[in-house]
Amino acid sequence: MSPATKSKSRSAANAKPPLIRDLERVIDPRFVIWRPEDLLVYEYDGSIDRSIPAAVTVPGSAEETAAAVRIAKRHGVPVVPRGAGTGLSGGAVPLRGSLVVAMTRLNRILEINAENKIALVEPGVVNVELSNAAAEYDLYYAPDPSSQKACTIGGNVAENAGGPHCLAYGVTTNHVLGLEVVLADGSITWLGSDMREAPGYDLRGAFIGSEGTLGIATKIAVRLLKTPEAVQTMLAAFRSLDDASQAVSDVIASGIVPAALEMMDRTTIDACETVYRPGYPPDAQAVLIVEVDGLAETVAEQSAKIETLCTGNNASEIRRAQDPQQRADLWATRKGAIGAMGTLAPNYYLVDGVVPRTKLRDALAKVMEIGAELNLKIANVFHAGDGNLHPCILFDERDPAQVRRVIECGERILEMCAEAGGALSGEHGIGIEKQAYMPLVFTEADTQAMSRLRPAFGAEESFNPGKVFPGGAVHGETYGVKETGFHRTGTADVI
Amino acid sequence: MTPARVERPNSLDDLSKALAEAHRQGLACIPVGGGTRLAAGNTPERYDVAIDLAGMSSMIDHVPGDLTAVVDAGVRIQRLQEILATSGQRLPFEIAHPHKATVGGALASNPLNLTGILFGSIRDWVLGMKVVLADGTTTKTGGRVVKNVQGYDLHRLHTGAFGTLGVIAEVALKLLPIPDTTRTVAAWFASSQDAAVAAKTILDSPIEPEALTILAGPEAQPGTLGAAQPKDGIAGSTAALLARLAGGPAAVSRQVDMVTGAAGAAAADGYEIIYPQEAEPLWAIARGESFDPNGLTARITVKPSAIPNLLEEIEKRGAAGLTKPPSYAAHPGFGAAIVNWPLAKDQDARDAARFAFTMAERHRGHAVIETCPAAIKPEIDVFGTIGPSLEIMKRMKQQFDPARILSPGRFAGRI
Ligand SMILES: Cc1cc2nc3c(=O)[nH]c(=O)nc-3n(C[C@H](O)[C@H](O)[C@H](O)COP(=O)(O)OP(=O)(O)OC[C@H]3O[C@@H](n4cnc5c(N)ncnc54)[C@H](O)[C@@H]3O)c2cc1C
Repeated sequence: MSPATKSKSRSAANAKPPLIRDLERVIDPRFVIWRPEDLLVYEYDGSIDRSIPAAVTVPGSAEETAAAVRIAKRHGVPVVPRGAGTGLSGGAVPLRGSLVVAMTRLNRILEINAENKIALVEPGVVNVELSNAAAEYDLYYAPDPSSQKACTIGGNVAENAGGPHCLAYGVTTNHVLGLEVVLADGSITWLGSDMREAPGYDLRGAFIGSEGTLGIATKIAVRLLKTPEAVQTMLAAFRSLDDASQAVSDVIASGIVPAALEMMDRTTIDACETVYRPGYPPDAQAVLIVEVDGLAETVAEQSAKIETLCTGNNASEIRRAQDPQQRADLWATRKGAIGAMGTLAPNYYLVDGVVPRTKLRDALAKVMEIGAELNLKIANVFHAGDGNLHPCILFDERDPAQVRRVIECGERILEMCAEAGGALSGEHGIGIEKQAYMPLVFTEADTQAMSRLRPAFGAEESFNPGKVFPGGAVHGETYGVKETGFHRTGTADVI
Repeated sequence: MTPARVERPNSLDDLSKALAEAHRQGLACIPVGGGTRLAAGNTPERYDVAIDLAGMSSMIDHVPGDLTAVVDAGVRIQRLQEILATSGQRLPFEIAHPHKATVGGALASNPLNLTGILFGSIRDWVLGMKVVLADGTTTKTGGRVVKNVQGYDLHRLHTGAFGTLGVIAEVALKLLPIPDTTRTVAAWFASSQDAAVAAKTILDSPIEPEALTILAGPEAQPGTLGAAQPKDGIAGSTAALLARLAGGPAAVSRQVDMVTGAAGAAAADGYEIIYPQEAEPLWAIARGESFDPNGLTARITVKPSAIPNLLEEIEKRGAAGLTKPPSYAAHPGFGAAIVNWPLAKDQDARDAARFAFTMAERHRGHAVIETCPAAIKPEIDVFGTIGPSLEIMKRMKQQFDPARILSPGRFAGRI
């Protein structure tokens, strides 16, 4: 029985479970949450799964975080770190009656060292705020998930998050130099350093992308990049998905790695037109958003070349952002596209599969074929340059038959990605959602080798149990899709 | 140390069998690539079997449209680069002796990347691996696509692990196009401090050199820069700054102007603008190829802002204490210097090692002794001090190789 249910049978005065009493001794009771009605907001993240935590605490320092971990250990309660809860694979959903340790108060940018182009931040810092703060020094933090206005650097580290600009500049792991982490025994240690290299095993690299299963990051040292001197953002419209895909391949083959290369299909455009009114060509079946940056000369040369390649693939229209506002508008539409899906259907399910970029065209055709076979509408808005698909399967959770088809659809798309030599997830993580599919890409020996990291970090099942590995989330442990629903399509201004 | 036996696997299967057998017998194995960095690391406790991976070098599965390649660990870096170049691509990773060094050896020993300032370390280009574990189990991590977060990133753990957690058999790599135009600017200065001033101006400007290196000392003398002899009137120079600039012709020409301007403003004695082929011998020096192999070589990592001070101290100490002055290649943007001290006696090695560790500590960085006489190795941990995370590293070794048959004692903390 979880402490939350226990409390119901007792009188208000002595209702506090011992775990809570112990936590309140070291953490301000305002930041120890345990009443069932208050726990509801912590039972879900951006994914489809839900599960109620035993309690939630919001520590105010690394030391308080460590103390919370020690107390949870003493009570035999596992710990689930939580950032902003925007994760799309159930990473922050607490299984096994865990204690959620939320990073909300650890939200300070501790240092921006402009001379060495590094920043030291707490994990609860919202991604975009770091770049905003660094802008004063003509620097920025490169990984920019579409959710960057809400998601945290700690969550980014845990998921090894990507974003549109990761095509040229790499994902989170390529930008994090080191981290302070709280381990399962409540000790605090550094992995990596605040320099470009550190001797010993790359524990930093092992921790990044470990989805909160090895420890809690309490400080993060990251690399900042110089704001490029020039940027050109372009929009190219195509009358077919095939042409747009071919243009993507041709750009990569031409020896240009743009800063970003994103695609939106007609269904996505429809959603965006309703909400943002970008006024894209009405006959466009797909648009590409291409950005090049760097020295003015490089930008001029590459954008001209990209224009030629798009025209060569029958682009019906090419628009260049003429000023920072137009550029911002182009990105606002792209980054808000998923939020706009609400105009098309009550729910969406976003599949994060990856295919080799040379197989993009076939993979997209296949996705649409699977959707058609299952009579489901799919919107595609994705990181085309990396081959990271994001088919958004649109549906209505009130129709159980449809929900079953949605799950089958996701499964078949991931199978297709695995067969194409791709990956189950490009940036959202395995979490609860995709663990059953791990055998599509890994043998038991592979996952077993991975599982050795947990005891090496002293973590066993003390952090985020039931995640990543196949069979982790026991059937019935989370609320089923039917009862609580898939991710609801939100309002457009959230992210 | 010499092993009793050499295994020469030609396939993943061979390798797996060889390790399983060694594991059964409890024999200590050391994987051998091109042999260019065999001297690196601590002296292993035991060494029974050499696993020579030269035979595992047939596969180079390059898909230019994906900008990726999957290659056998025994493939030489130079050969890989030549094949990639036929499609106008490269692995942005430049290390000493690329014609000998293998992909697997380079990954396992993580040498400094000459182009690290722009492209980072080799760990940033690895997408996935096949690794054979101590008991012969073959495992896969990551994949071959450029974005992938499925499972833990074990390939990052094996990168730089000196083969102490498993033997790297196959590697998937991310690649880049070779730029249209590349030029090197070499500028000569009366002192390394002047060179550092020029470097800082470059680093603070909008341009992004692919490589930026300060060279000084007898083995990196401006006067011995091979094909690119310095012009008259710079005989008094003691330091050179090399900057490699790449991109389209217009961008390169502006970058060249900017760099030569920065050199001029920092009172350079002279400079040259050099085409790629003629520049290669200079960059070979920057990669450390002319360093005394019998000397002590230390890799000191600090914050970029500490580089000028570090160089000053190296020069001061070199003149005062040790028998012969050191040579070095310093990378002011990346924040690292490779320093090579020629040695007259073992005591010199001890002094140089102590000096390197002291410098690292003073600048809150770290030092790794990459080569030094075998005689003094037992006295030091060549990886320096690791700190509290060493405990996790030890448990990691215990998890992956409880019988300690993979290069036992060779890694940091004598793991
Ligand atoms: C509309 C939308 C668009 C998105 N676009 C992108 C995108 O472009 N690219 C992309 O990569 N992702 C994207 N995401 C997914 C999500 O935003 C990222 O995974 C993000 O990194 C999660 O951060 P968070 O702070 O919300 O973490 P949470 O969801 O709170 O947690 C995610 C995981 O991190 C762990 N965690 C959190 N903090 C810590 C810590 N301090 N230490 C250890 N573990 C911790 C949690 O336990 C959990 O496993 C998108 C999501 C939405 C809703």
